[in-house]
Amino acid sequence: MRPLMRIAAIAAAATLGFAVIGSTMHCSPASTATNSTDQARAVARGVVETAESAWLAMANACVDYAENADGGPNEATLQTCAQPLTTARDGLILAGSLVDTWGAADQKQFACVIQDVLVDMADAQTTLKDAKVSLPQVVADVFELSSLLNGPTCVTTDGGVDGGKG
Amino acid sequence: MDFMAVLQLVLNAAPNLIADVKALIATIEGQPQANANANANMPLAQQITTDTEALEQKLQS
Repeated sequence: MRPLMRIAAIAAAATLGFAVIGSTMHCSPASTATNSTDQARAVARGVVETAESAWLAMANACVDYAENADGGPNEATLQTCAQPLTTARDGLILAGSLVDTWGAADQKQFACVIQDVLVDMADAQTTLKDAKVSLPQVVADVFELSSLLNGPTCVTTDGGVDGGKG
Repeated sequence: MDFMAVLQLVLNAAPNLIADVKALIATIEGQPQANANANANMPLAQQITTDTEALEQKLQS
């Protein structure tokens, strides 16, 4: 093959190759046909994982503050923020197991479990704020994110909205 | 060396380059990457238990 023809053939092949790649790699909206149960689980998982990040941030802040408080280690502050965080952790693990199985009963239970977790985390947040400890944005974000939960809401057996404890 | 020879060299090197880049990323990210991979296949409850265990012990100390 003559050099000019060879270059032309290579150029044509390259053009064709890029055209094929381009046609298979374009951006397009993902399918929106989502099963509502799957969507609810996805949001629930997002809330639990964000809550875990917030828990880690608050637990770190709690330990740091207690160990480095003015005037030496502050056992009282540690206890004040540790107690609700320990309860919140138990709830988070339970919430995680509900997301793992995500049956109808799990979905009903999830709303109250995550609500209790957020109440406990809010208690710890208040303690840390009172101690002038700055917390990362993820702590505030988890409370906002939880409002997107679109599964069953937490309702007590008497029909009222559960207060988060009990 | 003509264009086709250069192209062939690049194509031959590509798998090695990709492997090297992956190895470099793994080296840079180190243990957290390994943990992230382990977490990827872990049930959520177990992941939370593992991730929070050390701090929970500190809270209880």
